[in-house]
Amino acid sequence: MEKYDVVVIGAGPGGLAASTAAKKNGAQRVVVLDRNNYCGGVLNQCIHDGFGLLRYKQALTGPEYAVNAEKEATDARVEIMTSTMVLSITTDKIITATSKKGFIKLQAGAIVLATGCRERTRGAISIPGTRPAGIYTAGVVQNLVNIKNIMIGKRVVILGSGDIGLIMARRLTLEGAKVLAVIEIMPEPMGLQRNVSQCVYDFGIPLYVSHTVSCIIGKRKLEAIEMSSVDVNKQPIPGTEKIIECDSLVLSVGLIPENEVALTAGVALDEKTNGVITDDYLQSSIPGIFACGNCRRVMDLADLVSEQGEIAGLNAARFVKGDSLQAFEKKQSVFKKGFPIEGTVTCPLCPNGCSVLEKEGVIEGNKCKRGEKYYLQEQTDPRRTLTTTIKQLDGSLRPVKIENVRRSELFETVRNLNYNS
Amino acid sequence: MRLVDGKELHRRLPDVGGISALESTETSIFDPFLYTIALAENAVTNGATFKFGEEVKAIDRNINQEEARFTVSTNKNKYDTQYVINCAGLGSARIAQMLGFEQYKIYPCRGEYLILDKISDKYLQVPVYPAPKKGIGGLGVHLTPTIHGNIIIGPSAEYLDDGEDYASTKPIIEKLFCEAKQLLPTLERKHIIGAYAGIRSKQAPPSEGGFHDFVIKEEPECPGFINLIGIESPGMTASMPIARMVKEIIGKTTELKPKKSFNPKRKGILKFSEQTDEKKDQLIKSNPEYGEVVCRCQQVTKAEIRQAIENPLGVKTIAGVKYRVWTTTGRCNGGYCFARIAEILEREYGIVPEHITLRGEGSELFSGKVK
Repeated sequence: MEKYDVVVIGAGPGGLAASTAAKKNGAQRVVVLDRNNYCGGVLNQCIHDGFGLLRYKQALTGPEYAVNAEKEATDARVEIMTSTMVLSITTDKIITATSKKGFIKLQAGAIVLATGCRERTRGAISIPGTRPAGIYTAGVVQNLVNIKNIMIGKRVVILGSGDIGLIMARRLTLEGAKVLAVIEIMPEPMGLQRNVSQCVYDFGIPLYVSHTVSCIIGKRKLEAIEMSSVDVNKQPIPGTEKIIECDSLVLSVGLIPENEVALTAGVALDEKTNGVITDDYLQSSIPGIFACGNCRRVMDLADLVSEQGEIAGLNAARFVKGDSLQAFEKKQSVFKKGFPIEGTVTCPLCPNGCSVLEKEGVIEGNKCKRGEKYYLQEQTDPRRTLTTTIKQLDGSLRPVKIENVRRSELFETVRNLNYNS
Repeated sequence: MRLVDGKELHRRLPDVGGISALESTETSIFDPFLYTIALAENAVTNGATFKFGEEVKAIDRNINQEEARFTVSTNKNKYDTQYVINCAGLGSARIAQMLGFEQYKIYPCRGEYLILDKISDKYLQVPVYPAPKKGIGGLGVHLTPTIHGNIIIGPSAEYLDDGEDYASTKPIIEKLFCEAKQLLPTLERKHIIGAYAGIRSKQAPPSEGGFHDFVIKEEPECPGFINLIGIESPGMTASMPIARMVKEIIGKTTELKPKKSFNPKRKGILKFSEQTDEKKDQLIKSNPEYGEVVCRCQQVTKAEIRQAIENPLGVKTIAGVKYRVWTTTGRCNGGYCFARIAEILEREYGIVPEHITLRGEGSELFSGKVK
């Protein structure tokens, strides 16, 4: 059985940062395992930008952020095993996994769980109606569209206005689908103000708050959804039903920490959230097993996940050496969510997200000159950073980012790219 | 059957509510989907032909034809045949009408179910039914552990106008949960992972309720036409005996001899997840595709998925894979494996995205490639 000082499970932003930190803090043999045949986890399908504003002071796309994180790990001489699925772990920190080379058994001095999260499903929220083809969760759609080059449908309804739902509203629209509605059960949108602005308002997509999908209609294939207004208890109000014909329903109704691996060792999970319960040192109920990122608690910013991963990795290394652990500092995301303030422009250039407006000829609300410049640009000639994919010669998709595209030319730019690639 | 007192009930099933019980010691559970698939695959292996996506539109009698008494017309083909066995379930009365038999009527009666997470080994190792209430004419809402470790709650009973309305409804979902909570007080909302519905082919009209006996009959005025009508619960348990009765019926006028080359075994798909560590290693070394776990929740490997896709029936759908190896049924509900299975169907079996279906024609999942 191979022995490692620290074994990190999951090579997403949390796991990669943890493995890098473990190496940098004295752990000799560090390996990070991932079930995908690539590193970066879900970042690879998040081709939009806005990652790294805190950590790298740039607006990176998910894949660009993942490349940075992976390079930091390989520079630190972390061993990486992709296409490796961890099946179980024990309290003695023995890990079993499978890969194409064979069954794997490792002994770890310490383990860092960085297994991310899964999406809440239609079944879990008991949406009434039939079970036709055409119902997906947003992350799966993102994977299909951005990595597998498979388009789900032509007339789409999105349930849930968290960032994933908003991002997919824009993505699907740019790739030729008609997004008929974004439906949100809460009284205001759950995603970033700038996403509401740039993903929904920019494209004239109807946003219905305090509404839900009360029934799914269709025999073998989705034909329509029934949308209802909801009361204060989030229950559909009879008489408010509206039928929206569609061929795809995309669910963005919440993320749940993914802890199937943690369960195999009996790691204590939060009853309500399913997240790993940790102490001030990110250590779980089992000494020497640490957790970071979405599998501990679903987080908004990859930058903060990486920071948390660093502490978990550092402490895993210290645990192996028998040193005292470092407490981790809880941080909150600084971005503003909900409806953009009417009459203002939400500047996307840094985490401050200033709401800029003009009052009696004076531009205010911005903390720096860039905000003012952005506001003026929005008034005269709105520009957007376009992120999309192009098809390469071998048929695979490559994410691309084009800055300063005229907002009115976004469609055409995507169409030209599709035509020419 | 034996009576069980409250003390024994509480000792054996501590989480189940009740003051006493009647135990059926010989009842078992199995996988109904795999059973039907196994029967069909075994039939194909032994020479039967299955045609999917074909709807029977008409059946004509060929009066003077001794070798082919009937011609069955579908939306795609015509088949000359000596025997027609009507197993059309919800459509069985309609099929009987095609040959002029108007006396049969099917009243579709929907039964909804809730699916619970895999808590059965903790809370419920055996199916539990409440004592039948007077006048219900059925077994009522009961709890059943499945062969995969889930628990299903149901069924409800609701006569339908639209015999194809497989919807789950809000009031019934609520009702099922509340009634189940009486049988299993530890049940919580978060245990619900899904809902589904089936439709019974009942012969008893709504005004009557209850059950009629199965119709298992070769129509005297139409030799060769065998009707199996109204085969609702316990139809699955009765399926083999019914089949043997049909064989007896056919055997009265046609000489039947056991086929010497008949292969009674259907080759199942080995479950990687159930093997020892050593066996898993061996499997991977013999076929690296056993080392690629595609369905994380149920630990199903690419090798098994390939076997599921390459089935004797030629079915290459998401549901076809699901019912054979149980992909997409875990907590993430296909969040990890669905896109990967679609990719396997596209890349390795040449099915273009717009032809990948959930369960056959009409249930297409994608509009095509993005670019």
